Amino acid sequence: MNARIWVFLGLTGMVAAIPAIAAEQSAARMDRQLCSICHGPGGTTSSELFPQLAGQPATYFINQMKAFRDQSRADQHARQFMWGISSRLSDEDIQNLASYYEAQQPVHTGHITDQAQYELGKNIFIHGDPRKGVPPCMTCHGEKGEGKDATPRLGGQHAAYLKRQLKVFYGNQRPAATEMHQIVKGLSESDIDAIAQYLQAQ
Amino acid sequence: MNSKRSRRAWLLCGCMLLFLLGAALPAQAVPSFARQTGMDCAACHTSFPELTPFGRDFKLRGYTLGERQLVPLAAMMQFSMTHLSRQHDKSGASLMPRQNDTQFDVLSLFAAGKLNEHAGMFVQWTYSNNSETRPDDSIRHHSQLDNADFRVVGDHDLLGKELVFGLNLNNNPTVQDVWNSTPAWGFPFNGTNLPHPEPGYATWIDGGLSQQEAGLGGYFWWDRHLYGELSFYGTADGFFRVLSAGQPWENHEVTRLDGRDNPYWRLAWNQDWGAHSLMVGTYGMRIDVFPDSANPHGPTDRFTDTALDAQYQYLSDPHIVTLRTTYIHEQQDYKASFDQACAGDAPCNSHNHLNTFKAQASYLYDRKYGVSLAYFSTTGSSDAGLYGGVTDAISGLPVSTRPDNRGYVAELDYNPWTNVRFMLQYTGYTKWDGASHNIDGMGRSPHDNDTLFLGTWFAF
Repeated sequence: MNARIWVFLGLTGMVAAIPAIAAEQSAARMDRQLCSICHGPGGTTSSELFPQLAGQPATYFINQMKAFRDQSRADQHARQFMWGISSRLSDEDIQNLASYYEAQQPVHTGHITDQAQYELGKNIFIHGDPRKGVPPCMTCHGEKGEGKDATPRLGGQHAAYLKRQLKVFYGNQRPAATEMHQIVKGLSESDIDAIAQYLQAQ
Repeated sequence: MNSKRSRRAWLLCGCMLLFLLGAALPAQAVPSFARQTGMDCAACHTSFPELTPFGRDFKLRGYTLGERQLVPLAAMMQFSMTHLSRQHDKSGASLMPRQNDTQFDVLSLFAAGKLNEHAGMFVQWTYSNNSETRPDDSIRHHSQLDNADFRVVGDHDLLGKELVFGLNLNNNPTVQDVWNSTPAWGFPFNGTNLPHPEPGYATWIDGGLSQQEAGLGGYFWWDRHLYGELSFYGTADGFFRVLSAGQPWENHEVTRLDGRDNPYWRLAWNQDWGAHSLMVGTYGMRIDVFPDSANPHGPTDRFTDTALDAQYQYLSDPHIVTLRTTYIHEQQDYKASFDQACAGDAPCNSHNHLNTFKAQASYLYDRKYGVSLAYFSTTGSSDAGLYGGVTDAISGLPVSTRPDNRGYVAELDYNPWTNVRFMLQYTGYTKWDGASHNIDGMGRSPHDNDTLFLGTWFAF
């Protein structure tokens, strides 16, 4: 028995001697060890619960991570997942992750499931709906939802995720997105479904 | 009278403690892992103790994510009410005390969390308010070390993919596993803690060694696809005695294994895609057991459990669907206790087998409203020595010589918060220790042991 205990203690020491994970927190390593569990390797996930991060503009990414960290962004999944994760990240970590994900090639996994809905969504996204006071989304997000600077990439996001977030703007759980709080007031539930359908297929 | 007073006192204490904790903690009060990671219980659990892919990864990485807590403690309490279909047998004897009586059942304390960047632990101590019935019908309370799981982990690249590897020390085979298709964390997750009739026969790996043995081994987790483990178990005595604290050592009722090299293995393939998560695997162990726990010397009986299991999860918002199954085959070699004369309660066969099959389906809406259905069945060799102990009151013949059990569990859950659950559970039996009727020799049917359980569970 004693021999086995010594073997266990010896192996324990050897494992503990491995350089600390924290010391090697490159962005790629953090992606692999932590972020990819939900967001997929390189920020591309097939789970509709979580957003795609690949190709996300760095400025937008940084703003969101800081909003999670200071808990000003408070939608359900932010509270459940991101408050805890972001609390462990320094400004430098966030900057590194932002650069890493911005450099990743977005993978277009979405597809059109309803052509009529897709056309309606495309119309709203490109031309807006002046009768309801909805401006063209592409003005800020780009024609295919590419995003830029502080404006997020929406193209290729899962429809379910987009719908959930657009509905979050009805409330005040993402206070930094002041423009979106006004814009969603003009969008009906079917408009939101249609826009999500269009963006998912980009 | 004293028993009643004591019961009420405990109930009162429990309620007061609950109230104080509820008042003292913020609304999002959650156990120590949640405090350590800053994440909600929902990140790791669809519904406690069922793990999400994130929860599996957290456990396999040795509970090391997040900031180490100065005092990584948490607590869990359970209150319940149980109704046994027929409380008394034909002789008038009560088979379960406190029928339809509100009970403070269980208090568990957890020391669970990160120790350093490479080590973590999960240790549970449990006080049972209704451990067993004394001869005078009063209830014995009892506390013991419950599940314990210590890990030391590291990681490395293998073929361009991440390899997590670790060492594990635990006191319950399969408690270290991260899929809820294996026995230690399998369905049903809660049930009555009152002393009540329970089926007499199960495979060893299906709970027969819990908190009695110490297992030490290594595992790997490659690319979140392939999990492998090899551990070795021995009786939790000597240096490992603390892992069996509270077990009935004084009555020689702790299962004694020969040596510390009884192997346990696990191999599983995991695939996550979209909202889907699938695992197909195998696990098992081979143990050499001394027939007489009071005299752990000499020849042993050998039991080899080989199991297949699978789990599928559909994890979406607001729908979560879970399917699980396991099949365990136990080969029994009674080389030490086999009695060719077939007298007494020793095995009449030198070799027997036991097969257990379990299947479960659950649906959870918005992580709040859940419904689960499960089926279980155990079948095995006929052996008059092992299984013929219950005889008919009139004829004197055994009511059965088989270990077969069969039944189902239906459960409704309501989780107002992720750390609170209300459950209504019905467990029905269609076969009991080999008999489909007259299970006690006095005309009792398996259905008479059906149990309705109303419980509430809190974790802080």
